[in-house]
Amino acid sequence: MKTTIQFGPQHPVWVEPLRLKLTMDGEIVKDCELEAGFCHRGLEKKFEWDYNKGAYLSERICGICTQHHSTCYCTAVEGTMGLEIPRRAAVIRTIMLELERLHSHLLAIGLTLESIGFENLFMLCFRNREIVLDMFERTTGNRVLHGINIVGGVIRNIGPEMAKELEDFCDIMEKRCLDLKDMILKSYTIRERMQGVGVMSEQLARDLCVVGPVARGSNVPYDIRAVAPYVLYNEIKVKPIVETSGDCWARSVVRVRELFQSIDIIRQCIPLLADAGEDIFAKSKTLPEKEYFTRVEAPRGELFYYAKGKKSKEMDRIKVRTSTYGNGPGFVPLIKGSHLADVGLITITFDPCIGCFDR
Amino acid sequence: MLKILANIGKNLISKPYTSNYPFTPYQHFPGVRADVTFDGTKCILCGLCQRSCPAECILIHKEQEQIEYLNTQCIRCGYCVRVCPTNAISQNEVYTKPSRQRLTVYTKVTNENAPVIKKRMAAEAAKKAAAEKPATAGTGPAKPAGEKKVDEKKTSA
Ligand code: SF4
Ligand code: SF4
Repeated sequence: MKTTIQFGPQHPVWVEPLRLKLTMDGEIVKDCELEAGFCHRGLEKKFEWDYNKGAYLSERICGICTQHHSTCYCTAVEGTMGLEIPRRAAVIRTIMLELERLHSHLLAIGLTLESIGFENLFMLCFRNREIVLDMFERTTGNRVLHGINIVGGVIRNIGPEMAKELEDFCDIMEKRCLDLKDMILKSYTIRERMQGVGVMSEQLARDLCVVGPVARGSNVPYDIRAVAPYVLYNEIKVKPIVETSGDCWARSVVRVRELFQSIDIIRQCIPLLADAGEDIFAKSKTLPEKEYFTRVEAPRGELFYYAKGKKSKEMDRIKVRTSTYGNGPGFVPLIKGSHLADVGLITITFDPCIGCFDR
Repeated sequence: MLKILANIGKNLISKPYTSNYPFTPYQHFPGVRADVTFDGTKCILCGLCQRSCPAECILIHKEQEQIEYLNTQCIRCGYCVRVCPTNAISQNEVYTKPSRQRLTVYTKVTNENAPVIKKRMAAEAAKKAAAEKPATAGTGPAKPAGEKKVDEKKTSA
């Protein structure tokens, strides 16, 4: 007998609204239909205004990867007007991007653990995330929506004192992440629960063009930081972290290992601040009638912005393709054939951001 | 097992990680971005902040010579502080507490160099002069002196 179950839009696994219509045969999911668009806000239309305000608007697309969104937007607009940002601004942007990857991955790992009922480790993840947020408040003045990027550079400098604090922060963070890694990777319960669940083969990952940790968990070494370097990544070499098995476990392990990569990149960036000049801002020009696009590796995967100017202060068109939009089609084939109890876990290991998805 | 016991022991004697919130208030860092304050003695009512505010929460009333600031609508981005040509806006470092009111703040502008105020004062002075004139020079055509002056200037320039 077939039953239809509505999974969402209000479901405790996701904070945000997404609907899965599951056709069940007993415990096994036979068919799955994905429905999104519950929080569409029409932001792309709103972008057709003063390009300076757009940087603040782009942060509001996603509450977690705000810095990635605004960096991608600013880089696209700067590319349109052919503006080169000062080196110091590029260093500061890179540090912020990596800090944000830290806190986003900690959140994703925590939520994954919570979805399998490991609330204690979820709390520990959030405790560690808290010090990243404190660091954000210290450096940018805001905890979540940083508002530090504007077209032409950044608005807050990282002085020598703050650089020292960042170094200390890296030491503390590394110690805590090592603890976390030990707890997660050595835990028999977590491994048994996640291994072999929701396997995405390498072929499937390549066919669906999934991005970010989902692709890297399926042995596809696709990382924009390595493939098409932006801000400072052509100096700081990033080697994509790849896992081979392609299941929920592999996707989570990629995130855990990327924590250390991020800390390492921040460590490499801090000495660059000392001899990077004093300028953090280049004066922006009027927009020519040109177009440009940028790609940025957000914590969830590739983020794409297309910008088109129209010889005035206003933008003509901004197109955003977020990472969850690329990963979304991957939900369906993995959920088909899985148990109902695994549906939440499989979707949450994609780290879905529905705010990005719908825009 | 031993590790668990050691952890339990450690957790029993260690302090709680969370803060005792209402009794020990949250200490934020210096440089935190909170709401903005307008300095009425510096503002020249140019309206640049109104045009550049992404949240559209500043309203410049040129006739009433005041600035209306919708505190709860502000996103604390600090862009208005950057664009103000006279540094009349400053950003506070203390968060606004949750409130039931809308917390709209009106700031009266008293800067005498503001073009709008200059014009009004010139008009007032002209009116005053015009009011005094008939008293001293008897009845005459009630034409404000200030306007005449402006006209003369324009023609000479
Ligand atoms: S506050 Fe500054 S920007 Fe706003 S109207 Fe006054 S002078 Fe202009
Ligand atoms: S801080 Fe930002 S949102 Fe608030 S008044 Fe200034 S420009 Fe507007």
